[in-house]
Amino acid sequence: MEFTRTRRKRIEISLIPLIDVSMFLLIFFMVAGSIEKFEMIPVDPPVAQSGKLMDEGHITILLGRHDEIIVGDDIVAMEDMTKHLAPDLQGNPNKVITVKADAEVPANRVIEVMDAIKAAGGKDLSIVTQSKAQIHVE
Amino acid sequence: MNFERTSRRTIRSLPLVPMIDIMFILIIFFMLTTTFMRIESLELMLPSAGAKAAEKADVVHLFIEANGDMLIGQRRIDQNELTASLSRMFEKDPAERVMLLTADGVTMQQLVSVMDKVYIAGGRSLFVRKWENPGRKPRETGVIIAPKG
Repeated sequence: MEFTRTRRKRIEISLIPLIDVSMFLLIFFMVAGSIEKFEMIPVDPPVAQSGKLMDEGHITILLGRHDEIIVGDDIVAMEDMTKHLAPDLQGNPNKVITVKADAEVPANRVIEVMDAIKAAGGKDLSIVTQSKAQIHVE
Repeated sequence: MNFERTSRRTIRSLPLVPMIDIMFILIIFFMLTTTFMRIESLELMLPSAGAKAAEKADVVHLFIEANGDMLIGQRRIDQNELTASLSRMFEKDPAERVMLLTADGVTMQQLVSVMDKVYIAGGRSLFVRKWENPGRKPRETGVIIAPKG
């Protein structure tokens, strides 16, 4: 007598649905997420209660506690601020500029930066705050 | 004669395993580096450079001194009662405009705290400028507007 050996048939893990799912996840994370930015200088923004959650603007200006000014990826002197920002803002004055200043920075310095943004043609500005002070160990 | 057909057979299936490997690496990379966190910030609107300065008469001047003391107009005011007196002011006239003048030595934290209090008290029109010599013409910089959402 001869039996058919159906047992032999190997159960294969179907890979196609797996690929579908992982492709979906991949595209989701690529589209929905933004890669965390590395900041050149440590900035501890001032505490405020009325800050609203929003996305970072098109241009980010960092103001460090040792008078550093960083626009995007460049270190810029206060005098060159307007010159540096103007080409970016001339094309699209509605670009949002995010100013992330340390809590210890002199307010007048930030006002100078705001003046420079205004002179360059910027309109929308947001000042980064935080709702709770972080504890720093230095 | 019987030939074995070994070489032809292998071409048929696409190598999926390396592709899955790469995909998983990419997924893990994006999962770890993505942040959905958004920043907290005060939204300001800068007046256009050519715009006429606001009529100075109806602007309330709020001076901030380096040691944290504040003056509304000529009146010295306690830090703790700032919110209360601002609320009273905006209750009377919600369209009241405030000009903040910061002395040298005032930190960003002090300025933002006052801006915060003005906003909480109901102020939506705020100018900021340096506290220079009284003789110089004021030049305002920022106007706070109602943040979206």
